Amino acid sequence: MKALIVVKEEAWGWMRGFFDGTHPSMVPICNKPILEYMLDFTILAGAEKVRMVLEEPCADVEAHFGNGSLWGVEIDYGECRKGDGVDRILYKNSAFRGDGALLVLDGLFFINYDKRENLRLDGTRSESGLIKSCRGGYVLHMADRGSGRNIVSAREELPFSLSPLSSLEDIARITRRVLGPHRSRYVLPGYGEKRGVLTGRNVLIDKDAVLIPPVVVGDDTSVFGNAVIGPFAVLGKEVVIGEGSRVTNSIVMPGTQVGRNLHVDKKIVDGKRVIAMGDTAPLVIEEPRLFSRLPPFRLGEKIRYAADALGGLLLGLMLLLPYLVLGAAGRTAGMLRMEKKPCVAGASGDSASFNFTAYASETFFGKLFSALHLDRFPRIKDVLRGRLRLVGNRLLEDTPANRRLAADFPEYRPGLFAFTEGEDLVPGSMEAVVAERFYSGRQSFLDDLALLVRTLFSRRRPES
Amino acid sequence: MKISHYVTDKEVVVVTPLGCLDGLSAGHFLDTLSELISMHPKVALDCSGIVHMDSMGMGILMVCLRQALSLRGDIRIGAPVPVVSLMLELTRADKVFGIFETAASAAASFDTDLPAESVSDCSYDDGWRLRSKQGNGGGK
Repeated sequence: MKALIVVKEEAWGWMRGFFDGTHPSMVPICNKPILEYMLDFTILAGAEKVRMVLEEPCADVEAHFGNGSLWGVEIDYGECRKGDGVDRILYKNSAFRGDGALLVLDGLFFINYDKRENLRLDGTRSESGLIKSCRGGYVLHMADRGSGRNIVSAREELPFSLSPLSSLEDIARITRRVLGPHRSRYVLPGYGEKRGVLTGRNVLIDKDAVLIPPVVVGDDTSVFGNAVIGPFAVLGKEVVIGEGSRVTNSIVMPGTQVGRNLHVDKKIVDGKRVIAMGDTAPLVIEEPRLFSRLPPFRLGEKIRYAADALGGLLLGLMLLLPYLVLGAAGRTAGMLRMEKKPCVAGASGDSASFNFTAYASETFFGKLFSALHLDRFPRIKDVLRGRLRLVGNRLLEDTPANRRLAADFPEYRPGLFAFTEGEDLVPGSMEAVVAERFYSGRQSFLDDLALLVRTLFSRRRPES
Repeated sequence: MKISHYVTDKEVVVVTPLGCLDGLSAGHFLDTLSELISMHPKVALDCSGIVHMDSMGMGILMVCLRQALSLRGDIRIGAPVPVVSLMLELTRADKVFGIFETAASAAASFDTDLPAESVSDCSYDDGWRLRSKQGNGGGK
């Protein structure tokens, strides 16, 4: 049997406003993405090949699920368009589907199953197809190509129920259920359980901290002294709970630092965003002492930063004298001025202010200034501070659309020089966007160096 | 930050700060509120105009509360916007301040108070000074 899991924005998109930087399908329930519960179900139902159909390719999803070898199934990825109905999706995936049985999961819902029961559907025969639906979507089983042509005529006979996930309250309710009475029904891989406390790997819990079950503590998480965690608390991966803080009936999303002596009750904390149940939008706490997003520690990133900083330092030393001379001349003649612009600083969607130069690009002064790359000089300090890479993505102006774009682009790392500059692509054009994604996915410092050399010695268009 | 105030006929000062109650405005806010408390220790703080508040602002409120309590007064919070409610809840200060739906009800709550002597029944918990809830006039 094969399975299609369809992730459409119309069903899943509501979560984007709450979980910045996390693809909706990767929003976790007890530290496991919702999409993974769906995948588990298709495997228990007998699927051997699974296709995840998304409206846009998502690097996070593909990085997490890969080719499915961890789950013992073949996973590949497809695309659909906004408004595609089930017929259209089946037509587009007819080659994948073949003539055998197919299971379709379309919508955002939680399947209430029990892994200990026999859920296999691959031997089920039905002329009209079998369906189980809820407000959030449906699970459709078709025994062969001939069955289930009309979704309306499919019979509601599948032996499990679905719970819609249309609000944060739904997610909290399902989390409580999975964490509490239904814990043994689902696969929560990689966790050791002791008296209702599920812990991940490399967890540090202070001897004075108290864990009141049921609690889930993710990998690489630290809980400091006198903290009280639980009941019904989920701490994600790489979370830090400060001394004396209390987390009850709450979900702390991966990479979040909770400060000292705070009381988090009935909340979802995602970095600096705090969401109370029933809220229509998260509240942003701009105070790192209370809540913050911890940057993930990656050795490769540190080495990359050191190399970028060294390159930035060398470039800065080379450009210092020309910048001082030409900059002073330009300012005196009124042909150059500095301005600060808020830009998207990373995939988290955080905004930061960067220095730009405004100059008359058509004049001889402007052409010389641009040819010597002196317009980049004010931002070299951002490379040294690690806010910019030497070569990276085009620095996007801070607009809601660009923040959304960065949130869907986890590899987005703005650079002093953009990947696409040496290729003379129009910034913002489809070709430039595709090229930026291509170079970002490649992650090779040597290739970036080659791009930098090509950029430095190519004719370039002035910054907009 | 702009701070306006008026005094009711029951000697309760209703203070309305407008803007951000954070590190930048903390000094001005502390000076103004401290001066008002020294004259009228019963304070109803109208928080409907606060657009942002951080832990520095929270700390200032605690300092002022201590001053008001020492003068047999109190600070009661009216119409807290979501960010103020959240800060009060996260820092557990919601157990220390009386919180009311409107500034008017916060001010009116002083009318129904027990005599000041009963408010001195204090206990300590988690570093915060908790007062007997008898004197809080039934916040929301």
